Amino acid sequence: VSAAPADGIVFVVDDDDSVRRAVARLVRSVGLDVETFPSARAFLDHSLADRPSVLVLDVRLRGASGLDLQAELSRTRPDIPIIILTGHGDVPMSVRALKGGAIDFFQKPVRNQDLLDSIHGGIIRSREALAARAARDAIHRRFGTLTAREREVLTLVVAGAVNKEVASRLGISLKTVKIHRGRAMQKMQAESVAELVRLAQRAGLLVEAS
Amino acid sequence: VLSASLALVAAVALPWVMPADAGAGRDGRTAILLLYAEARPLPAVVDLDREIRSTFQAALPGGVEFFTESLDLAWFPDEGYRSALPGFLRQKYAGRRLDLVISAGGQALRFALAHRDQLFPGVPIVFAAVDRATAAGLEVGPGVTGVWMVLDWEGTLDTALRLQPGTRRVVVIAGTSELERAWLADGRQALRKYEGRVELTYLSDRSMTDLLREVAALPGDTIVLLVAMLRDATGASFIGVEALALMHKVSPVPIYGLFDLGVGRGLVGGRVASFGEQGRRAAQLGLRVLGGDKAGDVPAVREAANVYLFDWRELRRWGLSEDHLPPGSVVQHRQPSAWELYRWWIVGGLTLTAAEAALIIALLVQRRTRKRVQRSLQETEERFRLMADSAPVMVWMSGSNARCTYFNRPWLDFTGRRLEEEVGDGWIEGVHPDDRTACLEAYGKAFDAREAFTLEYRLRRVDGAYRWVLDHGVPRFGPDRSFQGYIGSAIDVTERRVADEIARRQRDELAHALRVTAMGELAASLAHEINQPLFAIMSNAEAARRLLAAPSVDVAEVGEALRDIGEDGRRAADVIARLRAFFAKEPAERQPVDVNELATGLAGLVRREVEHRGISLTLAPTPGLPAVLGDPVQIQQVVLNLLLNACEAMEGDGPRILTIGTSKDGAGTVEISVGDTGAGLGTMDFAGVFEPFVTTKPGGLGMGLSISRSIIESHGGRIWLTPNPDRGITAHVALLIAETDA
Repeated sequence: VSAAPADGIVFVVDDDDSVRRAVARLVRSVGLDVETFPSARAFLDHSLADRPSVLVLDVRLRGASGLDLQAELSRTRPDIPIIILTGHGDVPMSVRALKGGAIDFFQKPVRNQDLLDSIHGGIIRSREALAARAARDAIHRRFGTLTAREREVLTLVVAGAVNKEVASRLGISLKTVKIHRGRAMQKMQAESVAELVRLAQRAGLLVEAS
Repeated sequence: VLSASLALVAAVALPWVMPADAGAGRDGRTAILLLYAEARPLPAVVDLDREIRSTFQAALPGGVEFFTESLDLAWFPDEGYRSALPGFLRQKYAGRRLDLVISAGGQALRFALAHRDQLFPGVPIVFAAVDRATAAGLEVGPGVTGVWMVLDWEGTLDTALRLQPGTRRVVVIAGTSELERAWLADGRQALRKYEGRVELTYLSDRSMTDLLREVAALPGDTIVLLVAMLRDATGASFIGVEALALMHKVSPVPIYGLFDLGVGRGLVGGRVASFGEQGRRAAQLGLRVLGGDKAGDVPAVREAANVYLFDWRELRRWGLSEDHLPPGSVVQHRQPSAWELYRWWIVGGLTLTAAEAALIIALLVQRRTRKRVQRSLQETEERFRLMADSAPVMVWMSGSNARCTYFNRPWLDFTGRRLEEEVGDGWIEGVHPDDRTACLEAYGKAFDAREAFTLEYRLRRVDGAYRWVLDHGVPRFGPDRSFQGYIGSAIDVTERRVADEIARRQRDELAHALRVTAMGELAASLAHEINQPLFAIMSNAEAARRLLAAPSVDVAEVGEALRDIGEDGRRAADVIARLRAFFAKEPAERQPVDVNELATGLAGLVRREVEHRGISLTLAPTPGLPAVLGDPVQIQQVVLNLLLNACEAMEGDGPRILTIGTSKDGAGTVEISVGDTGAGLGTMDFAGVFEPFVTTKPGGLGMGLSISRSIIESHGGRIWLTPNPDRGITAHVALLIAETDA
């Protein structure tokens, strides 16, 4: 039994009214928020807040199929984990769903505890993903405050160049390199070159340098 | 007076001539049709006929066969008769080979040309005695030649006026037949130039009585120009020379004419045309054509010489001098002969003798012919009965009154009744009372239309059992194509019908099985339908449990959860009720199956249905195929389903050929194929149609092929469709070969 996360919302997409109502009631009974949608389209048209979320999806939907919705969502909101439900599952479909990034694949009638455990796991995963995204966004924001020269210097430093090399590569004086480097470290809120490299890694900035 | 007696001779002679003409032709003889515009006894026709025959016979001794037709148009002007003539002659001469047609008279030529293609296509035509008046508007096409006749009005009248210079009036006399009217019109044209010299009077639309009265009252300075007198205004018919004889008797003035026939029979004479000469010359042209010249290449004779011909007795009677005759004139009958003196006695005697002889010979011939015909008829009938009685079918015959006249031995053995009981309408007593009306109606309808018919009805057998018989009747026609009734044959088809009935029941059962199988295919979606409410029930139950465990219980929410649980329970129960048929399904049995046997059996099963839809069924098995492993009933269902699909695909226009084939592809499987020539799948996917609810048929469930696939795949086999190169599609079923213990 996992601990109930304090914050989180569960989206339920199922074309069966009574299933929708029952799952929503079950989710509410464990203290989570829930929103239900009768079709993939209705869900995609809904604007999603940046809060830990899980999608419980029936793959056999009328209209756009569950797998189509999964593909769409993994593009726009990769932070929302998907739990697939099916009334009549087959192996190829479950393989496809899991390959597409679903965290679980259940055949109805699924044990309630299994479903709730999966939902909790999904919420945690979602929260972590949101936190990582927030941190990455912060580093990006800091990186955005650098001047063009500071970025050049920083990029070479992260790539492992010493001040002298940087000065010769950029054709500026050693002294000027030191001033740019000090300002950049300050703006990026990095104590050391090692921390700077870690920040760059987390934000995916190292790619630019190499 | 002589003319009348000659006409009599001709009339009596007719029966002598006719049988010879109509007699059976012998191979190699030249067949000539003589087509006369007017009746044979007319002296003109007699002259023509005599000359034509003698000319041909002299040139082709023993090798000519004459057929003679008199259209008789002057005497029978009725339109109905005229329109019936071609049909009559077509019937008469159908199948006769003709080498040449000789038509005499303008009307005969007109008739021959008009109906040539119908009556004697391609046979050359030689015409005679056609003058410009009667030939007006006539197109003489290729393959036709002949002799033109000239009515020499001027030549005759000039001569008459030279003999009788004091003439002040000329009375032109003609009858009212079409031919005579045409001649008279021609004469009015030709005689216009005499209008100043003499007074011209045309006597045409009069009865013979009136005419004779007027002729008798003619003044002395008049001459009569007699054209022809075949029919008077009252419609009475005359032989031309007969009328001449009557006029000659009463006329106070000389009578001139245009034809040689009247010379010697009351005419003074004239520049006359000769029918005999016309006949002789036409026959000469005919001989050239028969000799190989194309009729179109033989030039027509334009001027068949008219001659100045006079009767010595008439000249003397009217006191006319031979000195005034034109040079080259022929004067006949200079001496009164014994013939002339005793003509009544001679003619009477000859006529009697001839008539008597004719009668005797005709009777003898008739008797012999009848005997021979009777004998051959007896033989034919004997042979027919022998054949009919030994035939393995029931044979019946009816007459032209629709009543049955004959039933063969097998029929009588079948019904156990005597011929006397069955003939007429007796046979109907043996027909099942429920079938009688339909049977008689169908027979009557076919009979009225003279059409063949096929009937199925129940007929009582000698043991009292009603048996289904298939009866096929066709109309009979005599050698003269006259309708003579029907002949029919009937066979007992009861066994076949029973077999058909069994086959149909089998098919119904198979179709039912197919429906049951459909439930199997539905299992997937039915499982989904059950799992949904079950899942909802479980979720609601868990939610309710948690809600009840909370510090403050939301009673309303728990109540709703419990209500939903109840509803979903009912929903699940409904689905289960629908599944009952599926649960009742029996397990399949696997055994070796001979696909050829299976295909042949199915072909037999569907053949009646298929043929009913106008489809031809081809069975193309490959002999010696190994057995496959499977449930024969299920495989049969699948192939039957494919056959029924193929039939439905061919409901539109276009060829309808259904092919069932078997083959071995060498990969451990044997294949059964079902090909059609239908419209194909159009834009549909060849694999997609195997999905449930996918159908090409309006109103179709789209289950057949998906069920078929589920059956075949459960056998480890394969089912697929391919388009045919020309038209339609072929469905293939491949099944695994059964492992043999050997």
